[in-house]
Amino acid sequence: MTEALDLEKLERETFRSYQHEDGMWDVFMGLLMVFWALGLLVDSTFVSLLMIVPPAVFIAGKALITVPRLGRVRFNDRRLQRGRVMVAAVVLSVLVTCLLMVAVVQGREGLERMGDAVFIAMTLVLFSMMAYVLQYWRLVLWGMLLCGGWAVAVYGDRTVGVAAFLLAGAIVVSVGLLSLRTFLKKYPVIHLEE
Amino acid sequence: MPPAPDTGDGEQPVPDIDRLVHEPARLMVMANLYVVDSADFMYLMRRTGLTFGNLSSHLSKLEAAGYVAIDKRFAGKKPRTMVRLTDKGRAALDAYRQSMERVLDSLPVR
Repeated sequence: MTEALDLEKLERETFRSYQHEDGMWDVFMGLLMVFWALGLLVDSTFVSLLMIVPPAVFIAGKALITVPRLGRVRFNDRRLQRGRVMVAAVVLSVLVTCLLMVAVVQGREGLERMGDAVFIAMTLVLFSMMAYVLQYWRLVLWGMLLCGGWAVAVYGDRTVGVAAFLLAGAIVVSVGLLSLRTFLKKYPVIHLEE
Repeated sequence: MPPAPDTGDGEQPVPDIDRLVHEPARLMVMANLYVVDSADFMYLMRRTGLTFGNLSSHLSKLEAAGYVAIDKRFAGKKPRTMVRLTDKGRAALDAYRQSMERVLDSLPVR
């Protein structure tokens, strides 16, 4: 039925516009890559702590830039269900990662290199799931860039891998900032007369 | 369905069309609320292109008909008004779609 399809399209467009038009996901992913690359380059607690920056920027950006311009919306149960699936996948991934880390710390031979491969594969799966849940297929490409750089850094030339990682991160952040610029022009702040 | 009565001026009235829903601005508001659980004023203004005054006026009519529920709260010191399509409103939009389909399907193909 044409009308039903139109309403589905409207819902999809609404969700995509709300989630991706502001470029926040790209900024988040790009920063994640940059700080990850720095973590591979410099082995220090400070750099590890910097991993808080990407989610903080994302949350603050959504709250201070997106919501005042686009308003608030609570999506329907189907979308919320997809979100719950993603959270469950993230929790499962973290648990498996923790188990692997315990095994690596216990010094089981050969596990360290295998552990890296598993982490890389899991990251790619996670990115693909996020792309599906968020209906944002660019995330698969970002995941491939992240995992590609990571794999080169771990198994190939470390310097080339880290440089590729940094470059990819910078490109992704730039894409996000360009989207944000367009978003800010398209949606200036409106002051409601409430 | 029985044929619609002739009004005498050559026009055939369209039966079963809910005029409250049929108005384009209100139809846009209801369609946008239909696909989400709830949304605030800003969101609806963005999606429909209506001004604050226009949107308030249309929402008041929809609220009076029981088609939308308006929930006014405060988040800290800031007011936050969330609008939701009620079951009655959802049913009204479904019925409207069916009525329009019937009307359009009955048109002769050129």
